[in-house]
Amino acid sequence: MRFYELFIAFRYIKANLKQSIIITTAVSIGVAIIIWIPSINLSFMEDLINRTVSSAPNITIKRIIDTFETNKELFADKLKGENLLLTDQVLTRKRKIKSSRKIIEQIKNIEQIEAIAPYAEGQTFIIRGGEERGVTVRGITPEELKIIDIEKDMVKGRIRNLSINDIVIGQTLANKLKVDLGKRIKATGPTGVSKSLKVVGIFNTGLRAKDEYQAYVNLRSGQQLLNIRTDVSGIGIKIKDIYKAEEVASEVRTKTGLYVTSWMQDNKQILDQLNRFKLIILFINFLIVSSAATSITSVFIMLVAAKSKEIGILKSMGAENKSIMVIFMSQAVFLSVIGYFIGLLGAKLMIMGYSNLLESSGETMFSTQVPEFKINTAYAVLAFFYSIFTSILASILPSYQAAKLRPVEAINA
Amino acid sequence: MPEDEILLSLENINKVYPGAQPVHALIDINLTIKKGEFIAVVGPSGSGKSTLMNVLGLLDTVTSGELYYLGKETSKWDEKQKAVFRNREIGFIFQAHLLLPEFTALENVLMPAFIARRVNHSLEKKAKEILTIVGLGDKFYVKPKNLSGGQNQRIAIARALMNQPSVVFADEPTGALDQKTGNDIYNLFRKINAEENMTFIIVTHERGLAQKADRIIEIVDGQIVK
Repeated sequence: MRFYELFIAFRYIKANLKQSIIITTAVSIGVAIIIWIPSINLSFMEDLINRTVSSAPNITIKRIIDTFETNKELFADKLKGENLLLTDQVLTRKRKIKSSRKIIEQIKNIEQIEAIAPYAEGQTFIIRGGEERGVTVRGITPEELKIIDIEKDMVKGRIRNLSINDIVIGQTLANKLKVDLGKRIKATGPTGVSKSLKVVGIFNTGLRAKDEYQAYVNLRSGQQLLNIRTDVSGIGIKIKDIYKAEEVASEVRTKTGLYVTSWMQDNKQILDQLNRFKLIILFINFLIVSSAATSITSVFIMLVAAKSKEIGILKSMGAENKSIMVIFMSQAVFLSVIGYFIGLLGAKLMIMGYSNLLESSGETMFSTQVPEFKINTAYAVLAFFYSIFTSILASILPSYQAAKLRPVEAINA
Repeated sequence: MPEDEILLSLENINKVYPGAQPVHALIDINLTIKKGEFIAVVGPSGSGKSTLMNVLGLLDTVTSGELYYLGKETSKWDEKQKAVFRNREIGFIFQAHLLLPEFTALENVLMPAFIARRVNHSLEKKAKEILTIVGLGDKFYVKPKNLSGGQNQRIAIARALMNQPSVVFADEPTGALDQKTGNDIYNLFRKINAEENMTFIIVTHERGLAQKADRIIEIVDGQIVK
């Protein structure tokens, strides 16, 4: 028999079913959690990023020039000991974007840019009956629909071909105002300009911030509400590779001299949170692996102690030290592989269970829709190597002890 | 191989078990055993018989002295060399049969061949033949826990003979057997000894069995007295 060690190992696994089940369970619980926690968190984060990125431009040219932000290094010395609030006020000023067409001409040839659209956005009050809500109204052009993927989120009506008296609102806002398609609502801008607008579309992005606090109108209508004549408050840009947003933003900034932000800057908090989550996940995984390794090691130490006599018998028949090690380590590796697949299945079931739980409870903090949870492939692969590595590491010491037993001592044990 | 070829020789072998009160288990043992001899080792309990067997079987190390197998000094052999030698040249029959409980009678007998990484149909046939000779022709697939002490001892004997070793060390091989089976086993040993020129070194308390041996080695307090 070429690999008698495996023959013995498998027989031991079968004969010592209790220990085998304990090891497999330890590994499968570890693997399930190693996969489940990051899969849930990263699905949440990925979903949040996707919704955020698809519902806002990748790059935005803004009319607010935050001089404090852009020149803070320059002013750092002057700001020393100053009241920051005051400094902020002094250094922040606004510039109107008067000729959006000219700016678009300046940047339209940048290779990464796919679409450019000006917008007029500001705070308004939406009033319907006794209900009054503060909502961000965004005046858009048809080009805007190439930048924000809002059409896929339309649950009723339309967002294309908005006339000057049309408005599109989110599902949550519609519910709160108790309005539906065709109903009229009153919008009042920051300078007191009021308009009566007809609801022609209702969307549901799944993002609370959008579905409750965002509305879309025709660009001209937005300009009227905000009382900015033909100016725009910003220009949205969509690019081919969203992860090149920083580079493209920098190029647009250079060409226009205006204040330009990327989606990464606009969503810095979410991205920072994601990175913090990743660190926490890594730490939790480390703890899980350590705990699984400890239980596997203790089970193997017990197993080796219980098998001392048999190790002696095998050695008296000529089994080499390395063969004794292979007998014990191959048990650990085999049980870990079984444990991995059980753990993978467990993770899948836990993800499904968690998803059902969320669906039954309705909403989450950031989102009004439950994200599509899926097993994170990278962590599933990592968990496989974790389980193998852990089992090898955990069984090395007991296997080495077994191999080093002197035959006469083992027989007399 | 000539019949009077020396199989193993011991020169001034000492074995001391360390501790608060060291135990001198073997004292200046000098011994030569020829290939094909049938030897009985006798002596009172605790006299050093089992220690001598462990040392001769390369299961234990010596404190001082030299042990030669087929003219080769073994003290410098590493664990791997000793393991290979045990597998090829030595068969053990322990006092408490020491079988592997998870394996059937046939698998226990085949185990030395498994370890030598050679198992084929003819070896399985041979293992079955040996089991049949020791009276277990109908117990091939039975595990030790379902057999009596005597039956287990017979499996241990079959296992020791499986790899056709040069020497078989047997510690009280017939102690757990009835007289008839004991005689059968002795006759089997003798038959193999004569046919295969296999050396047998049997530790026993049974005077009757010892007297049938070619040579009796008597140990008292770690020394050979006869």
